[in-house]
Amino acid sequence: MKIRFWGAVLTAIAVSVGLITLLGYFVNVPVLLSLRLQFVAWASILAAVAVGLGALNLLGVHLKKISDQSGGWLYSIFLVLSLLGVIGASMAAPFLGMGSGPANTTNAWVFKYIVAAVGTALSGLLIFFLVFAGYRLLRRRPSVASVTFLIVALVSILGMAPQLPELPDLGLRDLWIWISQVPAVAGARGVLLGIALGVIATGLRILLAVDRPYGE
Amino acid sequence: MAVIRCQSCGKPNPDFLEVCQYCDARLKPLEAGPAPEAAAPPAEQPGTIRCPACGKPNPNFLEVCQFCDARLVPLGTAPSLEAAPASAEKPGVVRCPACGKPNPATVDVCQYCDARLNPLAAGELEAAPKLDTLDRLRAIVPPPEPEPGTFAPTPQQAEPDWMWTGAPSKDADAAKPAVEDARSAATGTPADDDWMSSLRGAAAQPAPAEEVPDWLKGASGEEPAAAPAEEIPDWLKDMREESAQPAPPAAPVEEDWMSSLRGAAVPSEPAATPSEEIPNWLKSMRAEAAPPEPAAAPASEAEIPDWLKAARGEESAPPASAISAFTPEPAAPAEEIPDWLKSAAPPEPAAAPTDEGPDWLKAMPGAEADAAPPSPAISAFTPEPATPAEEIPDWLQSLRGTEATVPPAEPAPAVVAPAAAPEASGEEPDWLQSLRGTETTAPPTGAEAAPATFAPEAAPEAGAEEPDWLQSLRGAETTAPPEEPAGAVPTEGEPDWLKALGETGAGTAGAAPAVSPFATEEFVSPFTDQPPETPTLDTATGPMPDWLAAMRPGDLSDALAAIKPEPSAPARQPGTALFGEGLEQTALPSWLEAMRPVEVGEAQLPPETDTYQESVGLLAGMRGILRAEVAVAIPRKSTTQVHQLEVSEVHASQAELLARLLAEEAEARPEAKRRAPLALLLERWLVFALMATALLLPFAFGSGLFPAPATIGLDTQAAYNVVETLPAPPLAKPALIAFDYDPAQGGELNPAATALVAHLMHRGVPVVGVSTRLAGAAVGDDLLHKIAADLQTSHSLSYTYGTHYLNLGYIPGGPVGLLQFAAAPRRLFQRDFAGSSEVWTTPLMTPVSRLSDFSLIVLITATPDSARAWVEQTRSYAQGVKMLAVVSAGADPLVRPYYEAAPPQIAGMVSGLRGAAQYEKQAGLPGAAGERWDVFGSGLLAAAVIILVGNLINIGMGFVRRRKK
Repeated sequence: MKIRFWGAVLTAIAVSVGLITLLGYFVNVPVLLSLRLQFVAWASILAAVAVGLGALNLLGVHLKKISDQSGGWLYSIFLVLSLLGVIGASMAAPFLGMGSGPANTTNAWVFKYIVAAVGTALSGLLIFFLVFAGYRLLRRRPSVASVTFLIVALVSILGMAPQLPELPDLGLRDLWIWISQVPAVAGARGVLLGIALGVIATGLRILLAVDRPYGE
Repeated sequence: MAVIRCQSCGKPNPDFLEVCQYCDARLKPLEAGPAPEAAAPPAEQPGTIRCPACGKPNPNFLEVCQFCDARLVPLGTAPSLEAAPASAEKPGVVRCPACGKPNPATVDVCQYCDARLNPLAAGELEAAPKLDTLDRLRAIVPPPEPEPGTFAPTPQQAEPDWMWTGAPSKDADAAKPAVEDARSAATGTPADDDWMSSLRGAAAQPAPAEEVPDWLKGASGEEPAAAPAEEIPDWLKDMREESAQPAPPAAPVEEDWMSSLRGAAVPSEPAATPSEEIPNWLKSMRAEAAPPEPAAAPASEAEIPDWLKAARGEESAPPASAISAFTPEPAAPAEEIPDWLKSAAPPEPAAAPTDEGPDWLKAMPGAEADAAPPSPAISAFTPEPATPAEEIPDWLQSLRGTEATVPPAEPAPAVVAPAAAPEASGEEPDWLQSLRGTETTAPPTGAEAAPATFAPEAAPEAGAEEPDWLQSLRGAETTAPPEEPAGAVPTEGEPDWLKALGETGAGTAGAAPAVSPFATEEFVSPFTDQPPETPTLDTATGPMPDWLAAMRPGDLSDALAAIKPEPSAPARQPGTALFGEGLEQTALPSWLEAMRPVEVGEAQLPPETDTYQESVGLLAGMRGILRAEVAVAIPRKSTTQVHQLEVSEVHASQAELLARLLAEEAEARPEAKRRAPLALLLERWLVFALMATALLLPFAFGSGLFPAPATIGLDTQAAYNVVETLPAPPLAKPALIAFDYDPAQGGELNPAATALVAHLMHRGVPVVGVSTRLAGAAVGDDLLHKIAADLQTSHSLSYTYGTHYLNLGYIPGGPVGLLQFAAAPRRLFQRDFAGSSEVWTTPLMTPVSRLSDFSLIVLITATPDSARAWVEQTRSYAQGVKMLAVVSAGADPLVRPYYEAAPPQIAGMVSGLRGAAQYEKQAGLPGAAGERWDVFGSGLLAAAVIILVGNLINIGMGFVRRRKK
């Protein structure tokens, strides 16, 4: 692993800050606590700035797409116009008596009648496609996994659905509860454990300057 | 560099080679080991033998010296092979001395390298035909394989006649029909069954009875087929009677006609042949009026050699046999001398023993007159009506090797017996006597060897008119020979060819004319009454070919000596006489001359003058190679540095094309839109329609289709209990609500969030909203306002923003921001979501300085990561604060572990729309969950039914499809 000079400096800074922050959890030293809090605050600031940079990057990409007239550049026009319009409206709302802050009237209107509506509509179409996919599940050559998935899906749907009084109780709800709380949770536990171990390993690699962005 | 001569082709090769570079024959035996070093004394080196002639060393496996061709080992002894285990050889197997491969003992030549397996015996060498050139030609270029059903001539037959009769000329073309005639006549039969071989009668396969004329059969000693008596000439019958003697054993093919003639040296008693014993053909010749009997003609016109026909003056007749040539024919005009007579040249003696040799000579009896089976040509000379002895043509006498000159008036072919000899006066010519094997000492001129092939019974009658063909053979001008042989007959009736032969009589014997005895100008008729003189080569009256002259017993040794390859003998130049004076040597064609083997006597390699031995390069250590230039042998690295690559336009365009192709590979190509099939579109629309119907149907039938859940889940109950146990105002601390979901998940989470927040508000617990998602703050803000408005409307409760509820807004940075909020909430938010900067001065937020100051944390999320982040980051800062989770049905399994942990990190959960409905029922606050319960149920049931039915249909269709296969 080759580390350049400035890379070594940056690596040292990152490693020291990480260690100090980590030590603040294990060592009850006021200096460490204050440093940790300060580092966390700076991180929040950096995260906020990153969001802004992300927005600017998004704007630049789509502007370039418009200038190059590559595929889908018309959609980029709508995106850029929307972005600039919302930002402009939000910035002009206080001056127009439409409130201030993110919750001004303009933003609320855009959010309520555009963002929320579109999002809700798209999520509503999901049920149709999911049902159709389930309808064609065994059209290809059935396998053990596909058949098991189909059975579990049917049990979950029927177990979750309200039971008609006319229909006999087939115990599907209890089965569904058992499936969702026993095997599913067991799998979820394993996933969470794996995630936790991965986070620890990644953090150590970063703190030890082994992983990106320091090492090559 | 030492040289090894290849035993197969005779060409020199370097000693380091194992295989001849010309013919790929092995130069050294496999067991013999490497060639002896040239520097070492050959006498002391094992495996070498010193040549007794030149004294040079040779490998011991050679029989002949490679320098002087002298024999290294006596005849009959095999070359020594040091490493050849003779005892290891199987009986009947002979190992080749050259290549070392096993060969059957019956073969004489190695099957692999064509080297002789058995040394030539003394007799074989002497009797071996000295046509080394042709033999070697045959060895090098084997005759082509005959096609089935076609004539397969023997090598001898395949060779042009001129090779045997002289230089090639137009006369050879005339002679060709003779061969072709024999070939056509013998098509399908063994190739040896031609009239020539049958005349010779030596190792000749008898032709089928139906192909060989009877007169030929008689000559060959076979019983002729029964033929009509009128078809068999009398002379043929007579000859047949005489020839009805046990035929001598077939001599080997290589048996020289010379050897047969050798017996002629033995004086044989002249057969006193009365006139009535004169061959009929001779009689007919003398009568000169007797027309040729058609019966005398051979059975088929095609069997008549061309030369005989030409002698008879037939223009378009097919080649006639030898017999027909001697039937009394009108004299051919002098200008119709056959070409073969004109161009006939003395053949090489070595060629004589083949089938192409003059058959009549072969048939001429010496001592073998009675032993030799009469050939067809001999049958031609079967007794005809006796011809006077004085009419023995000179050519015949000359052919017998006598000094008697052939009278020019007696032309007769030297190789054919005159079928129609001039009528003799009754005296049998000597040549006839000699033909019958008598002790004639004055055989016809130049017929010393011919008597072996002849069986004349009567000399041609003297004075009889010569047939035209005889005259034509003799030619228009007949030069008077120096000596008229006895028994010379008038030549006025002789064919021209006979006359021509007579003209070239013994006077030129000493000069050795280089033309055929049948040449018109030189032909001397053998049919002469002149007493035959002592035949000598020098006194031959007729144009005696060299090979014939060499056949004389007296000169046989000389001939053999001339034939035998003598190392010291000078190379015979082309065109020079082989047998010396009197005969002109045949000039070989250039292509044949080119194949002449190297004269062993003279083929001594010059001493190695170039001793240069290459020392560099690939040919290092080799000699005799062209010297390479230093620049080539030792390539040097170019001193010029190539700084710029010269690229042509074509190359540049090709490189550009390649670069463009590579660049296109990296570009993303738009997917080609595929139009779905109609069946798939119909299915999709059908499913959508059913789902839409199921979702819209409850609105038509009203609510209550599906009853509300009667029971409540434990997790929902626990959440309800937590909210219910919160302290009421004025001790109520605000509850923190985290709206971490997007509007897309609002349809499932809003009912649950509304139910729980409404329950909190209804109990008077202040609510503070926050979100870690960008849209969550807006969702929460909208939800809080809506709930407040609904409670104010339904319960006449006044909930004001900033007093009863507040929305802090968005927490940036994900887990880091959450950690900061958890550690110091006031440092994170300076303003609320409404933009008020006095958020921390409000009565709601005044008592809140850290996360533990909240009474409850409600996490509303559809993603497990958000729930995990909240749990991981805030638990250490809000250990006494309970946390509730409102999650979607999909996130429930991943969040439930936190609920089921010990101690639980989440106090209660409200999962999906069912949980919301249960919570609403438990809290007594009807909400959206109850309103969507029927649609929720119908949709789920419809989905379940569609999925179940569709898959059942798919299973059935797959089953049917598999059965069809």
